[in-house]
Amino acid sequence: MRWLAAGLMLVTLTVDTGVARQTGQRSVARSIPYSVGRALPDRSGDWTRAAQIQMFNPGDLWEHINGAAEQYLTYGFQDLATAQYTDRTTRTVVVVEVYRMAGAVNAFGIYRQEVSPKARAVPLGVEGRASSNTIRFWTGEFYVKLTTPPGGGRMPELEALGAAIAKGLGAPGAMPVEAGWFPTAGQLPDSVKFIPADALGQAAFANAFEAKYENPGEPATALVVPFGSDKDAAAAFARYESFLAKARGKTKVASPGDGGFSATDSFQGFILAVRAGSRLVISLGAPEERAAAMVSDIVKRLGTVQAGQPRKEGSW
Amino acid sequence: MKGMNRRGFVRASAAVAAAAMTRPAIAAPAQDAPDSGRVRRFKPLGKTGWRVGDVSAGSGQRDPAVLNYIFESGINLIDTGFQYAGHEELVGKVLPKWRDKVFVLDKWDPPLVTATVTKSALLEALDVSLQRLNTTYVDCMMLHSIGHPRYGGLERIQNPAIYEAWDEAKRLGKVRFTGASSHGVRMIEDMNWGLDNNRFDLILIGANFLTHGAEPLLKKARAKGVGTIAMKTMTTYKSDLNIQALQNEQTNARQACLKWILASDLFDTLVVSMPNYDRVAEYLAVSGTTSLTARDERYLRTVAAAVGPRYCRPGCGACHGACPHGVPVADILRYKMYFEDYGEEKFAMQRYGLVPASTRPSRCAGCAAPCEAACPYGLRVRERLSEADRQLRFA
Ligand code: SF4
Ligand code: SF4
Repeated sequence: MRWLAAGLMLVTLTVDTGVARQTGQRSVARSIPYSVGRALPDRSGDWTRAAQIQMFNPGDLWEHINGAAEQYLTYGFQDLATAQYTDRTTRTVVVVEVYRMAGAVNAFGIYRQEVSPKARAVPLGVEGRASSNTIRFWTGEFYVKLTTPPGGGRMPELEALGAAIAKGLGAPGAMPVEAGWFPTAGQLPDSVKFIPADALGQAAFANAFEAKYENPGEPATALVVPFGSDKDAAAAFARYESFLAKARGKTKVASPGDGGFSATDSFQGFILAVRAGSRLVISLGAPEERAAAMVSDIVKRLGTVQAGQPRKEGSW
Repeated sequence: MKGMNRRGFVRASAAVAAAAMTRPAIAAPAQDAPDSGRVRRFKPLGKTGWRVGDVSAGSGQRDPAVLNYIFESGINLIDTGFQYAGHEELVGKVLPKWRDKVFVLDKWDPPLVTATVTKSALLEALDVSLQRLNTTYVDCMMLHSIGHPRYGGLERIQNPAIYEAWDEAKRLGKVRFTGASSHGVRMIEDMNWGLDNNRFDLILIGANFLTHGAEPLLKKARAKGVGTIAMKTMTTYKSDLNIQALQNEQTNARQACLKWILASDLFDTLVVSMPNYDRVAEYLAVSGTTSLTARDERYLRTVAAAVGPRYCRPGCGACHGACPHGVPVADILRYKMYFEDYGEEKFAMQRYGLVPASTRPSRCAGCAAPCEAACPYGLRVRERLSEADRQLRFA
């Protein structure tokens, strides 16, 4: 039951036609916006795809990846197409998973969440990395994973298959513009992340971006949390401030941006938080002077780097 | 419990709530920890010797400070797994400070554990997890998602390599206890096999106030000194109970679901996803519950009324094979749920389109509905199937 035939597109068209004929019925709102057939070629080099492509949606992703589904849903998971390829000569099997996310930033987000920055970079999509038996990359609104069993190896061939799939998924796009909010000096590689919900454990902090910095012995994090309006940002900021109210050394700061406060938390270290219009800029862990310089720099950048589109919500 | 109405079931379960409350010492919170609840009740975790808080943490945190705060609040069991992207690493950022105060429950990646996986592959994967967790041992290493056809049948967990790997890992001091998790259709069967063959020290199963049938399994586990842990405690896979009748009252509904588990005393602890400080406070507020209030029962009835009649229970499958015409009841009900609850109309229709015409519910009219008789939850299966056929079929 759970397997769709390779002719999924045909089924899709049939559904469309059928619905169009049923006047007066609730209309079908969404169509699958990409061709599974195109993205998962029947053949690529020595790889041959099994006939069936399995699809999952937000309602049953858990059947594929159990509790990990929760994280994907938070990141704006839309649907998943997965298929197996077998190498004609070695019989090596690779499982390909194409996750369609709500947008490019969501694909970037889940990719950066899953990938190890220590893995080898591969030229696939906007960014890709390969570990001993897995290749991950993101391209457009898709996050793609190719996995062989441990020891399955054959990475050059796997990369070639990845390239064929990436091609089928269309133009890769580019890094989220929000990455430009963060100064690059001292920034750890691949440390810019999209945090769709609960940034810093605050229920109101959604769609945030963070970057990590490393001075010797001084790990630091910078965070930008956008809100729909200055008023919403101010309310969330006040709540965050009162949350940290018990912190030692909490002091109001007058600048930059629209003012804020500093605090010292036993776990996060020195915190400097300011509001700049509808965004909050927060430095965690950096010592006072460095934090002030970093926050000022980010506030300046917010004025010059245009924000991306508002994020679509996850499925729940 | 079969035959008992919902209210009766809730009351009966509350009535069996046991409970000597104990208050062990908890780690002193940092001065700047936000002020909220603490774990108020601790119980023996099977025969592990660990006294576990009645409320434990599932994954879901994205910030190590939240996890640190969770431990400061006295929660002393964390449920993680290889499959929860980045969560083992996040635990690893906090764990060194708490290592001897927190019970770490980890799980192998489900696809790794097959009928043919080797001992060395399992031990290698354990080492990867230990590295991510920043520790030299886990308190419990579990088989993740047994009883789930996707990962194979019973033969998967009968692979002797698993038990050789566990023995070796215990000998090396990398694993203290072992067990399995499940909310799959063969949950009861596979868990029973593990218990009967003395393979598990702990079991983690999907259970909530709407699922029945696991009581004999849980009793058997208790009798053997196997620790019992509940997950999926809020009925649906959605983190919020998005029910119209509960607008602005989701907190109370979520808490009532947790309180039902606590009051039932069927489990040593429950694990629940705690992504932010608000949720930690919300869930800690129910710690120590030994009985349900009339208000809790009211919330459960509201959830049951909204979810129950259409909630085809995870891990059930009781109607499988009951239909003389081979109608795949559970599958079609799930497609209907996608259509109605998830806004996935096209997807649901595609799935339905692949059900052969000969096994569609067009057969249901005039049928005596043995499928309905087989459903222990009283789902109006025939009616729901006919509705599904109208919604999902295309011209
Ligand atoms: S009501 Fe429908 S599904 Fe149920 S047994 Fe009869 S034909 Fe089968
Ligand atoms: S319809 Fe009833 S018996 Fe069948 S799987 Fe669903 S809950 Fe179980």
